[in-house]
Amino acid sequence: MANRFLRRFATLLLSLLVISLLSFTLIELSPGGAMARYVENPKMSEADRARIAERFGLDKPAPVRYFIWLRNTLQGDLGISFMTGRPVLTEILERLPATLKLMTVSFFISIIVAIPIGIYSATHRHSLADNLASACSFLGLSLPSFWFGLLLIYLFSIWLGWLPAGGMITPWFDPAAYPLLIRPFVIFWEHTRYLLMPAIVLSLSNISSWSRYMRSSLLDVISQNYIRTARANGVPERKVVYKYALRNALTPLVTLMGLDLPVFFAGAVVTEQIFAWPGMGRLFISAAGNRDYQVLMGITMITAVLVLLGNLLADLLYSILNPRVTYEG
Amino acid sequence: MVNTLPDILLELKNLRTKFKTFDGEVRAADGIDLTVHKKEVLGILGESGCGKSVTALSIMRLIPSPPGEVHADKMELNGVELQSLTEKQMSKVRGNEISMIFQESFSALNPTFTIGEQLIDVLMLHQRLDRGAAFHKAIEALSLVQIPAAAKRLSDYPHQLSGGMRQRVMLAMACACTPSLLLADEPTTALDVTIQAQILELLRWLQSEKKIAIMLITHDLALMAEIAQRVAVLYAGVVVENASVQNLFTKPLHPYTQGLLASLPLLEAECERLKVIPGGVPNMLSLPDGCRFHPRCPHCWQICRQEEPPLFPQNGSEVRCWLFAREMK
Amino acid sequence: MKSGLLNDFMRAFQKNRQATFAAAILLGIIFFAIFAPVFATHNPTYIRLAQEQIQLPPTALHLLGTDNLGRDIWSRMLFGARISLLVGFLTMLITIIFGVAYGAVSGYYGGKLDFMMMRFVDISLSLPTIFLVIILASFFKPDFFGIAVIIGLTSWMRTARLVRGQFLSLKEEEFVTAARALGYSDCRIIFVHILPNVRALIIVNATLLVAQAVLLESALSFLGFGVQPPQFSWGSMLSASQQIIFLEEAPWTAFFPGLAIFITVLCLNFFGEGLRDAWDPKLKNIAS
Repeated sequence: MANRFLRRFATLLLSLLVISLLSFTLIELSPGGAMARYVENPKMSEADRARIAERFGLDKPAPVRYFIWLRNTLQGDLGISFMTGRPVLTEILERLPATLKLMTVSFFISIIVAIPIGIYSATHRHSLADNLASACSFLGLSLPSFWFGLLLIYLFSIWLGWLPAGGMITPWFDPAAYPLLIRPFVIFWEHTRYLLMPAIVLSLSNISSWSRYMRSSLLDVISQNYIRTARANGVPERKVVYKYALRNALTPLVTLMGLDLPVFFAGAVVTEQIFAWPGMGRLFISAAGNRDYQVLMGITMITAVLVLLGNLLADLLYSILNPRVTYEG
Repeated sequence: MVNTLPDILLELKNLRTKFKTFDGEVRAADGIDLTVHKKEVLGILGESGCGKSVTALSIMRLIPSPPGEVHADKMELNGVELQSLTEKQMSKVRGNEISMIFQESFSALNPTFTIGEQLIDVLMLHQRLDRGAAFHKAIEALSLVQIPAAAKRLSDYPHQLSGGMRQRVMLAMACACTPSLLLADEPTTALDVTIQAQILELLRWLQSEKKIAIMLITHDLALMAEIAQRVAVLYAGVVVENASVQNLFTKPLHPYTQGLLASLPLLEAECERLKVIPGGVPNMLSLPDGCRFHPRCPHCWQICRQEEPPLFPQNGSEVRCWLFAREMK
Repeated sequence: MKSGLLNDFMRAFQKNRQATFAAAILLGIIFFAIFAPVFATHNPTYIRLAQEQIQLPPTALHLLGTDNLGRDIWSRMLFGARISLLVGFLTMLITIIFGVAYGAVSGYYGGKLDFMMMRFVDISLSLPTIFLVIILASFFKPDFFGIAVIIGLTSWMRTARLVRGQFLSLKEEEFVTAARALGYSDCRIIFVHILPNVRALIIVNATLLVAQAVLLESALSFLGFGVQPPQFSWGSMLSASQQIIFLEEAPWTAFFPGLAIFITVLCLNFFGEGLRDAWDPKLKNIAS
């Protein structure tokens, strides 16, 4: 068991190395490379560019710069942002909590909605509700999230005026202005009304695919011999489904969730952009617009770390749910 | 419980189990009559695909619907019509009054729960025991099926046990509540010969000491001779012969039974080629007209091709063959 | 061989009304895209900044209204369809060619090479595709072909894995052994002997890939990293609506192109699922 996770951890480090090399090379190969931001600027002279290159250490050959970058990164220094002149790590850490907040809430919404739908669909196969869920998941997978987001904004912010169109919190929001008794509710609502639409948009594709997956996985398990044994021993149907079948059906879903993590991050980028959510994704978009390569590298690496840690977590959860893994390890 | 015939445990009249498939309707059981008396071992003999397992699963009401459909004129256990029970009442009958064990001991136990969890659950369900009492009862049940170090085994997962051990565990779960009828579906087929003998011994002991009637489903004639008192021979979804085990082996009546016995290798017989029943099991989608066995029957005459024979009584046995109609006249 | 494939197609069409319907709509969309100049009522790139020309609601003159630069949305939809569909199709081709070749080699040769190649796939899969795409797109400022290449090069991994799985099991089959015994080259065995057995899977995958590519391209263009003006796709038509003021004043600017993307992707998905069901009816019964 310990061995298995040690090996997984080594793979994780290797993956990070490959990913860093890959993104570094991609930027290097691009026209202008790391200096792309300044190449097209007509106001700058060649000397200006040379001075900037020297200041950021961009005059050295690429392999050398990669190793410098690697050494600095290992020491927690992701470089300086071209846009703001501040350390990239500080920039990212300022934005990361917002992204994590959005993603966590959306993740739980996805689970809370998708799993019951999947269970209901599997236990009421070909019922009206099952067909409806199936159709909805199909629509959900085909719906462009940015369009869905714009529709929601138009409906709830512009037309009905119920929810704010963007942002994370009202800048002048002051909980102290409310009586102590209702203050927790006010704070909760203040956060919720900003979170609601982005979280729903980000959950959409997860709910669509996870509910379908849960359904087929549970159907698969229910047809297994050991479920027949449980029934033959008089275990009531509810218990058969919720105790005996569910744990077996959840194991592949956990793996899928781990695999879906990159897609989830990608969704967060688009969602943050639509709803002006001040997270890492929005930072990434503006960094890409400004070709701020240090920030792009930094966010890519941080995301990769988070995805890989998420996969590791999924793996751990998988081995808890499925005792056989421990011994095959 | 009103019961006119005190020693009848299970009475099954005209069981018809159909499956709807893409290619048409398969009548897996096509009018099966069976009677199991208290404390006896009834053998169900037949080739694979003749409806043996389907009959047992129909009695357990474990045929998945759709695609399956079960009808019987009578399906009474201890005078209680099983078909009229609600699903909830039925799950109390399963494991408590009728149990079933299966051939595939590996896939028939849930891989993600320990033996103990699965066994204790069944005990708590049927006997209203608290966890502690159920724990002791579980150890008792495992010792009963001669599992060494029973207390230790409780925390094992199915994949940590050998095939014979798993079959014992399944038997322990099925018999933990001392049912009046045990349906054993090829319980020894997947096991080594030595283990087979041990399981057989265990079944015999359960019948004689625990007074559990057993419906033993098998295609193994030797096993049948070893343990059964009466035998019902199934062919293509109907009973073709009902006989005591002595009659069956000394005076087989139905041409199919005769063929089965003739295909047995006998140690004392001189080395001639084993006899084989010509032809194969009929396609359940398009059964022949008249007697189902007529295309393979050496004694086939006109009426066999036109009309299906009923069961004719003959020397204390019953046989579904026109050959015996003449003698009745 | 050929007629079998065609039969399967026909069966899919006959059995699955949804797939047939989806295919009909797709053909309609492709028809409109090809004959865009015929159906367009205005020059799609012609900008009219006069106050009475911008953000007009749908009228007889401007079927779907005009956008914030006074361009006719109906005409832009027709020409935008060309880029959206073309990028989707090109991306699929690139993905399939690269993914199938990669998966075939990995699965056919197996062993250490397969291990290394699949490790690389795993690593690539754990990187959010959109990050790579945006990085590349922001530095290269590509045209529609460049976008297709970029998306294609970052989404071949699942196809490769799918094909590799098939090859791993197919290469153990007797006919491969027979072909080896006859002394055929590996290249010939891979492409002539094994590949035809995977074609159903590849075609289904390709259909779904087009859907994904259309979605990804439109998201990219929406974010401003897709095709650059004067080229435009359905996704870039929505881009201006990121500003609430434009969404509020002229919601139709965002609504119609988005609807077009949605319907196209939906039809592609239905079509792909329909093909899959027709080819593998067992799968439908067991898995759904």
